[in-house]
Amino acid sequence: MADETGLAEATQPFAFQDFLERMKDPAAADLVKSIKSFIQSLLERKPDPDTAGRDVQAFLEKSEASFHLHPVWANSPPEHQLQGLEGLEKYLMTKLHNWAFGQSAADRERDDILQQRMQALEFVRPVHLEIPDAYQDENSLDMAMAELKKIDHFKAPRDKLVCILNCCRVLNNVLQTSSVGAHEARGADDFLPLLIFTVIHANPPNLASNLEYIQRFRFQSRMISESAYFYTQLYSAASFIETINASSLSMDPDEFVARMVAAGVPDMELSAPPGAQSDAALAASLLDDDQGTADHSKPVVASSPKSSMAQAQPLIDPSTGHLVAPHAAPPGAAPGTPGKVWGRPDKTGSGMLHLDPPPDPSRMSFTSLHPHSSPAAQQQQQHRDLLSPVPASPNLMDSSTDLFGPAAETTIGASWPSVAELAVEGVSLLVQQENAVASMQQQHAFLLASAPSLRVQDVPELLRLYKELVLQYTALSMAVTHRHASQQLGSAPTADAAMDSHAAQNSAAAFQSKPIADTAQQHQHKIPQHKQSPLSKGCFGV
Amino acid sequence: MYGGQPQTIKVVLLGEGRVGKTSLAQRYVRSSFNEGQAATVQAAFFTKAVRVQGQEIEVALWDTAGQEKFHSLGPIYYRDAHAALLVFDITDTDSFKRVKRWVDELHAMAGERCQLVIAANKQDLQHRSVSEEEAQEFAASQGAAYFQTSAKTGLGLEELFTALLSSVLDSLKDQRLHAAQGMQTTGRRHGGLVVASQDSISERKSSTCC
Repeated sequence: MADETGLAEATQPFAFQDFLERMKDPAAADLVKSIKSFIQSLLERKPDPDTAGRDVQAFLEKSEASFHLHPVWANSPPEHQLQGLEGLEKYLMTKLHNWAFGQSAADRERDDILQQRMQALEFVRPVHLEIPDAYQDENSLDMAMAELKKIDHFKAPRDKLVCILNCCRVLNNVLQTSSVGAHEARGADDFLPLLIFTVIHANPPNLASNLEYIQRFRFQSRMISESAYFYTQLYSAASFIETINASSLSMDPDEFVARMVAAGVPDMELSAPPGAQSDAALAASLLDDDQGTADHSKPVVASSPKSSMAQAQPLIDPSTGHLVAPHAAPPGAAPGTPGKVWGRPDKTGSGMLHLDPPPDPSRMSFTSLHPHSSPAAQQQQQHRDLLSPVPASPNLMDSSTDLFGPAAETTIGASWPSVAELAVEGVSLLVQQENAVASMQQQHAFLLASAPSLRVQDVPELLRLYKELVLQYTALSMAVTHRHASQQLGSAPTADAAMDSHAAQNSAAAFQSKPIADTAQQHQHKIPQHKQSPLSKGCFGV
Repeated sequence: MYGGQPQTIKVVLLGEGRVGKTSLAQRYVRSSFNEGQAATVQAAFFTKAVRVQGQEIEVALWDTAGQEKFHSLGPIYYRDAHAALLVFDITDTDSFKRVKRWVDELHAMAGERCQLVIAANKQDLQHRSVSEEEAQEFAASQGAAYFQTSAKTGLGLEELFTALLSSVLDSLKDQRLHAAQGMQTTGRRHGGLVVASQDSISERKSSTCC
């Protein structure tokens, strides 16, 4: 096959054993000594990935030169010397992995952001990325995902890179063997969306750390050609996910934002504490898409400048911290991660939020608003002495609407009551108010509407209002709860929240990775074109 | 493969979706099969071993996704590219506008080291909506080489890549020369060289195109 040559470079099985054998030769004692003392010199230092990367690169370069001259290697053919270098890189980085991997706080933050976003984006179907039906080859996509997930299992940069190449290779096969518009050449226009889809659903652990690790520690003179290209494609896919916004996918921007917020992903506009904006503006900023294409008569909110997620990392104002808490789908609460995600797009298209029936209720995560509904939230409840928010009842709407009224603003002062207390207070204020119903109806057109009087055209607007309300309510109740908790504990609640979220993410990831990998393994034998490919050699065999 | 490493020239392909940039690359790369030279054809990554100015080089063509929503990812790909091949469809004005946008960005971000070549593709189609003069003028004003191409008929491809690679090699030689002389890299120096190589490009082009 024409494409053998390029990938062979990166995926041919190299003889790590051979490297080790040769290094046992007494004549290699000086090489061994220099390698060991180099490793030792690094391990004695405080880990700094950037300088370590430079040092490792310099050492590899130096070794490349000395291998040429050294009796143990000099008489070997050039390929063996090259393999020797690969062996050295693997040896070094296997020893240094724990010291060097994931030591950058910035990378770790990006790992968390990516993981959270990929998890939130589980609803993404091929149609959202405009991937043609013909590419929706379950077995192959399963396999590509499984390959990508392995990236975290290996210590050597080359082995990690091989996982990326294997994944891309499977996707290439999908593109080249499918029969979409036979006359059109299929290239990056088709490849990148497919890769993004794969990455989202594979949700490979520590993606940013892995990418940076490869960049820093993969011998640079080997990071060429196909390796460099597909690495860049993955890097690019990760960037896309990191900075994804309402206009990134082919779907209703409102739905996108609602889903992201429901899954606990703080949108960039959310970075201002709710108190800093009027409630209407908050809701608008929650629901508004970047392009301002939505036709609703929302208050205009100055959209915050687009920034990379890495910069936007203080996801929320540390003083409120409330949006960190609800994001993680509770591990174990989802009995089955949807394994088949590439199914046919919904007939209803992308215009509406499909609440019926959600593929996995816990991921629809409006449930996570109610602490009593999930174990993770229950923990939070105990932890923070969180009072149950207002249960779903006919009164909910009244009380929660009142929370946003001017009265509530003045009520919330130095001392923070719980959400439930506030709600009760709001209801009583409402009752006292004259023309309460009339004024509310003015604000909320559907408040007194009866079901038969509704028209089909009202549904989108109703839905929007509903989402807006839920988001407002969630945001505010989280804020109140948070302040309540911080007051009660008198400690640093943001740190707690961050730890909770981190732990939840980790366990969620661990839980999540299994089913898809298993499925993929089952399918593996069914794909003839990969049988002899470096897939097995590179990733399983090394 | 690593032994006598030939110099690798990285060319990034930029063009809106469906302007035929992938077809262009594939056609160019495949044309080497009968010469028995190594070539890689992945769905989005192509290499070809060629001899230019008496030198063995490997051309690596980096295809990129042209959809608008991926536009902001551009710099990830064209960072450290030796050349950018910007493709538009002569029957699609929007695709020409996109090329203009990329050219602006490339000037701002990729610096002078990146040689720009614009391909007016789909010359085999009759109903053109981007005028030849406008496109040519734009290319000239941006210091970019300009070629009329058709991925379908193969028109202009060899000429385009020959000129592109020569221009990259010249630029690299120039950089080395100046590095050797210990001179500081300046845009001025490069600009001069690009123009010089473009004269030869346009000569070649006028003899083969139209």
